[in-house]
Amino acid sequence: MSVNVTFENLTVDLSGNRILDGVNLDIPAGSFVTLLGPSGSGKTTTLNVLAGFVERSGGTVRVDGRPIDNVPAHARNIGFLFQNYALFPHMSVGENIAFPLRARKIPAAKRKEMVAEALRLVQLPGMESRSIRSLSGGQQQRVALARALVFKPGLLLLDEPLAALDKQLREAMQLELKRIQVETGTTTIAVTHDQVEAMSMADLVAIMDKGRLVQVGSPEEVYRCPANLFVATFLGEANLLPVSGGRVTGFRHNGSTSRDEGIGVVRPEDVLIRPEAADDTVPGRVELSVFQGNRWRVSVRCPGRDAPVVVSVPPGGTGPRIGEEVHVAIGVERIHVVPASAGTQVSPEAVPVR
Amino acid sequence: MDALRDALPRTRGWFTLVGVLIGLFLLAPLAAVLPLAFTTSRYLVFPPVGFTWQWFDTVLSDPAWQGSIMNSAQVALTAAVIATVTGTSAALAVRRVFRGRQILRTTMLAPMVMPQLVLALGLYLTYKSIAGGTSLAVLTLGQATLAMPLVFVTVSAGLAAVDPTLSLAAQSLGHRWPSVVWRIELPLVSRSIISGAILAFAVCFDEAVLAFFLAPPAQQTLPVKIWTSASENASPSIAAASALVIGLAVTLLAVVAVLRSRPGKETA
Repeated sequence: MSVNVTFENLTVDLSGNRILDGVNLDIPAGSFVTLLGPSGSGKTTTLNVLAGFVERSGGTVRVDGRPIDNVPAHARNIGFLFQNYALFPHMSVGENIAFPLRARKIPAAKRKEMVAEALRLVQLPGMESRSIRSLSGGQQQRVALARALVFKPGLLLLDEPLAALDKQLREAMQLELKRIQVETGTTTIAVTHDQVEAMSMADLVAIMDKGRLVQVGSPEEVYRCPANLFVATFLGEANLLPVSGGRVTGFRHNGSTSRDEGIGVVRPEDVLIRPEAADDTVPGRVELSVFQGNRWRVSVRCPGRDAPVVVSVPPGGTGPRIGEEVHVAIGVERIHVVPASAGTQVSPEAVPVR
Repeated sequence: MDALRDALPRTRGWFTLVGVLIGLFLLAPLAAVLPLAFTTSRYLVFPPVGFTWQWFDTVLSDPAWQGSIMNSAQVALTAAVIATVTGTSAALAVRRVFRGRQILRTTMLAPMVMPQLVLALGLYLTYKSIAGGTSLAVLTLGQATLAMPLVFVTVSAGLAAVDPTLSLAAQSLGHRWPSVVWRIELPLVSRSIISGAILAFAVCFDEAVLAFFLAPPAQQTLPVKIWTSASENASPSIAAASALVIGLAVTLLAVVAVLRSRPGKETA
């Protein structure tokens, strides 16, 4: 049922600007992939090329090994969930969901059955006759999802699926989308600029910047071992500490870092605050201490460093107080060192063509 | 903004006065003609005297007037249908064009600004040399040309309010473009299409310039008949016929106004 997707050197130029610059990506059948990147990174364009809405300038997109570059949008059999849902306002919920089935000449009785099943899948059973305008934002999204899945496409594309929802609903829908994806087994590609969203839904996170793919990996992989500074800072909070000769400058630690030169990426949860000085600690003063529910976010100012070190402290007990003198230790085995240069991506944004 | 709001109460009286004066100026001809339709005098002379429906009776029962009303109705209806189909098609097409859209749009509006006399004369000379004369069919085509931009503008405005992603969504769900047009775009602008069609009919029904050139003498339309009657005799039946035309135009415009004031489906 589900399909695999391959981008081979995909390039898109729009009115003289290079939007996509040689994207290579393999998406295994049945996986949930998020395309993550800042706005203008080309993630939505990638989705639009796949859906057949945007013409590619170079390269090839294959679905199950077959190039789909010359297949018109209506013949691609791809479910697309639009950011604004794009529900047809002159049709009822049932008519909206039956719309793709009409194109496929499915008889009315069977159509009715499939619509009911799709509504059950998105947990809105029996809503067929409701009008689109009478639905809440969250319900509209579920209807749009049912419409994109009812014809059992091999591939489901989600364009910023949760951007229009409020925070609480967004978190519930993340898990809901994941559940539906697992239940249907459909290969799913979602575009998002929200890193938490990207990581909590996906098997694979593909990070894009300036029209290029910067890194692809499991959420843990891209978080733990970012390919370069861009990924390290875009995905989650990170302390960037210069590394030279296998030592983190300005800190004390046992053993040496994984690479000798570069920038050490240290996540806040990998920094420890100790009450007593030890041979692997440096002194510091708490500059800011904020309770965020699941942690205390503590900024510690260490002498000789410009930026404070950000530390996550578990929420139990009282957190460090502002002005408190503490001792900071970094877990050297969790430090990932990236090249100090801007990284692998070389193309400045929007290279003019010709 | 605040300064403007503060100044409003003081200037409102003046604006209202000017508005009323303009309105009076525009309506004055109607005020002159309408009462004459009910005069008991045998001549079209101001001021009217008495009150009678007899001139309406004359217009509606005289075969010559009847014929001209039928001619007008037939020509205007056919022209409006042609204008609606072509104008709507053009609006749908221009929406799909990206390069040179503005030029195309302006071209579509050309018949609106082109002197009607030139169009009339051109059609007259062309058909005189090709077919040896003109006919109501030629007039119908000419009026359809005049009315097409009205439909084009009205439907384009309606389409502008329709989210373009709806068409993309319909495609991604497996529908080819004819089906996208038929099931999504046309239903969402149905109100604009009806408005455009009514406007087209109203314009064609009392169109005089083209009709004067192109209607064969034996098949006059209502405006032409009013014109020739006015130069032959000065019967108040002319005023009655005019009143009928005015009544029809006002009714149609009212329908269009109602259609436009109700919230459209496209703004969901």
